[in-house]
Amino acid sequence: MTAMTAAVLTFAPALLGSLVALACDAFDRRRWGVLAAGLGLAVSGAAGLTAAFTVGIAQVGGVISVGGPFSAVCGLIGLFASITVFGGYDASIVRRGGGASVALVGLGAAASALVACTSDLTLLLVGIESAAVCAYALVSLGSTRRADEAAMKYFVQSAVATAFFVFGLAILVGVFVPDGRYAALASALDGAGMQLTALAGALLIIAALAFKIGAAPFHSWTPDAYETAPPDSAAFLASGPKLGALAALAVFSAVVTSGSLAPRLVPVLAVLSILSVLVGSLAALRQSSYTRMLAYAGVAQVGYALIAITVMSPLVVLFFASTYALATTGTFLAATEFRRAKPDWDGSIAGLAGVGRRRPGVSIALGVLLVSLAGIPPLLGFWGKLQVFAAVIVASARDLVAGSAGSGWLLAFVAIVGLLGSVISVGYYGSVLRSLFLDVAPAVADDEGLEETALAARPVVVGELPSGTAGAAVIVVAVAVVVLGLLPLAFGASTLMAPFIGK
Amino acid sequence: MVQLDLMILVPALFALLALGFGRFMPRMPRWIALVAIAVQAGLFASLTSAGVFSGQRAVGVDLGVGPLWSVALDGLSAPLVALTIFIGAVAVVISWNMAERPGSYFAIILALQAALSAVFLAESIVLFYVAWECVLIPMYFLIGGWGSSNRRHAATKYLLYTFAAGAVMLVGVILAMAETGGSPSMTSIAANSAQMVTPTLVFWLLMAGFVVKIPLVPFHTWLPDAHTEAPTAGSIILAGVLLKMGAYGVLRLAMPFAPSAFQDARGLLAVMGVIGIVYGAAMAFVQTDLKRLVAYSSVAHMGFVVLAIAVATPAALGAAMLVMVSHGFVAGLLFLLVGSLYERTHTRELGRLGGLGRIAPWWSVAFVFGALASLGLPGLSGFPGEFAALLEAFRSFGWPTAVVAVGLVLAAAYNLRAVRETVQGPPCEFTSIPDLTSRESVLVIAFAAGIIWIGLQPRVVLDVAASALTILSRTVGGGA
Repeated sequence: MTAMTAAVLTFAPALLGSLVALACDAFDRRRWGVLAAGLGLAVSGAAGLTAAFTVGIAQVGGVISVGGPFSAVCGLIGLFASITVFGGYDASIVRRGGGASVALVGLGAAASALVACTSDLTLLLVGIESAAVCAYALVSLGSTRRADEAAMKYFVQSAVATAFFVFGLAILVGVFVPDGRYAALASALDGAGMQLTALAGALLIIAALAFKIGAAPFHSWTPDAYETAPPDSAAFLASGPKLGALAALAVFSAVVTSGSLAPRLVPVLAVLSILSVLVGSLAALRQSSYTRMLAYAGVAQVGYALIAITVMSPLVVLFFASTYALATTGTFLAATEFRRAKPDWDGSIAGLAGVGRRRPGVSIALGVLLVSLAGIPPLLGFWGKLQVFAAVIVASARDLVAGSAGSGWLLAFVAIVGLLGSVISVGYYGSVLRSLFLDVAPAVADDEGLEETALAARPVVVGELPSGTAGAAVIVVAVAVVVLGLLPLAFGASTLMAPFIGK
Repeated sequence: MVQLDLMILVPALFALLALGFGRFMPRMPRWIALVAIAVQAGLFASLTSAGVFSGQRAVGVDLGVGPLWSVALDGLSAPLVALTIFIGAVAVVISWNMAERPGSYFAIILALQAALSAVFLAESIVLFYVAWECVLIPMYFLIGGWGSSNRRHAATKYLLYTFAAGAVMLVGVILAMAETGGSPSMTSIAANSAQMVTPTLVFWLLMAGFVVKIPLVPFHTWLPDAHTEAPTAGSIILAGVLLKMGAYGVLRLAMPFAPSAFQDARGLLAVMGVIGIVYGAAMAFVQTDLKRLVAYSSVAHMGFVVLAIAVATPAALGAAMLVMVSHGFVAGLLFLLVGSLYERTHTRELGRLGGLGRIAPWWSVAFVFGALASLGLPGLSGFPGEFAALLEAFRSFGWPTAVVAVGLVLAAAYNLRAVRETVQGPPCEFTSIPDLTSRESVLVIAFAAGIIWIGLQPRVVLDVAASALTILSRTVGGGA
């Protein structure tokens, strides 16, 4: 596969699938549209992952990087988006504008992939804004007043972030480099005087990206957006665009901190990560709504990714963010499934009481995903967290031994906050486990008596539906999380990093 | 030797089977669980020719360099693996008639069995940590799903405490690897421990995980809740095997990785051990809940283990190992008896019990036996370990060790009090409860045989562990 083919195959199928979905919607063939979009995304994803292993890192047109980590992230974004599309099949075909919604996911995934692999600031802006437009629309698909309000708030706040980005872009492009390409930017920032100007430009762009990934203190849009959007749309919002923006932030940070700006930018990134972990964890602990809790948990998880960005380990960022995005896709799809199976579910964590007994497949799968997100081995999420903590602890020890006590202690503090957040995460993810499996719903309390005598055949609980596509998707994701989590034990710690290391 | 790997994989795979069958054939999971543990026992027995019972080291399948999966069995782990298998079998048999979600229940027991075996068999420190944390989730569900009235609170507390401690331990694991060249092999880390830049930090980070698990006072508060609220099989596994993970971690990781830091910490550990002995016994003495009483007695017994480890002479480490194995049997037996009593009376309040000697004579005989073993009657398994621990501690630390005597007196007091308020005394409101079933009797006899055997022949444990413990003692300059 040449670099050009890789680039085309990464974007074209997803875009094509989205177009077909729109066309099918127009002719009222919604089912075909959803399948076409999902298939397009899956092909894009597979192409990206293949390219990660077969194409060396190369640039296409000077603005898009393919191969290795870049293609891997693009591929994963496509793959996760296709999981949400297939998982949301049941929901999409009955929703008004269902074809449009999957087209939005397809376009959003392509835009997020662009964000992840571009090496040009202007194109980064284009990608981010395209992804954002899709995201606003996906939130408002919730078609309730609250969803409209959330989309509006999201839009207004996002516009401010965009303004930040444009200002930063203007500074960097206007003062330092003529065309905004990273290659030139790194050396230009390092060589020139005007360090404060460069710092301002970099900070503005970092702030804008921090908004896009939902890092504290720029996170206030996420809970409303994720809670009010249809869960299958939220599944995409919380994975694809976040993964793309995190990749962009990792690359941009690596570029601007390669020179003399590092000592000033690293503390900023460290503070962002500390705030995100603390705010996200503590807020998640107080939520009663399931998806809102997931949104705040996402803020904390972004904090862990920021820890890896702080210590300049871009590959760890990508790996950790991917483990998060995969599991998160499943957790939101589980909400779709619960809503379908139990139309009177109010969306609260307490409302899931007893679901574990009535829908064991999806519940166990969701339990696996939550345990993985909490970073408990031997699941996929553990390896992500292990890499993050190993990176920051090793960096901290290195700095302390090398005598730069300031940054050493700062990183040690970051590690401690990260651990604290990780312990708290057991609290909020655990609350869902507790509801699902340990609490008994008042309505099914009658089952208790039956189960006492259940050594005889188990009675089939009335009203049990077979799993929908969302439930099936959750189970598929959970199996992937278990299998991928076991791989490093057999094949070594670097197995899961292979796609990011590339050829 | 592939048997070592299979000893972990077989229960894990059978757990999936049990889960799958449970929904449609509720009688299948218990057989699946029993077969899995029998297979495990068979695999373990087949290692005899490799000499693991005479202290030889056996290693698992070699996957080459890089993989985190590497297992080994030596004199340090062999007694604990044997204990794990025995306790696992007991846990399955005691819950033979489990009617509530049997599939999930036996799957959880088998998952625990796999994780616990992996803890004791792991040669790679990463596998050790993975296994260590893998114990958490099944035990959480076992307590939370099948425990008694206050189970949700106890399960959550258990999860948070031990996970928090594990998170701190993870930092120690990462540092230990990073500072000794990055290899996850425990042998290699121990061999390169001289390179370690911050051995004291590594030692205490690792210890953070262990002291909560052992548990050392004041990090023990999860234990009474968890032990009391857990279902009988859960309590037996908790007391029988889970508590040994902490002490095993000290012997396997903390001491060889940071011998100098251990030397500095010996005094503190000894003091904490003695506090554990006295405090655990005192708390056991004032409990009104029989199961809670047994739970606190575990704190006291594990105090002896820590005291013996702090002395660190070969004989003291042998004593620690002996107390660990003995406590597995004694606490297992007591929790079994308390559990079976609770099934019949639905109370654990000492105030509501009494006079059971006439009502349930066999139960009473077994309980008196268990209490005597727990208070350290010579001839039973509790005696040789605790006596040797005291002797060695006295040689090392001198007269301050005498404080332990308070704990010994209290141990006699709480055990005899438990006997007086259940077996003796005026008959209670439960005038016609059935005595031990035949299934329970078999388990009680198995426990009792083990307790007497170890009591009369402590060498069965000591000989297996001797060579590994001598090397360990030399590494840390024990007794100096």
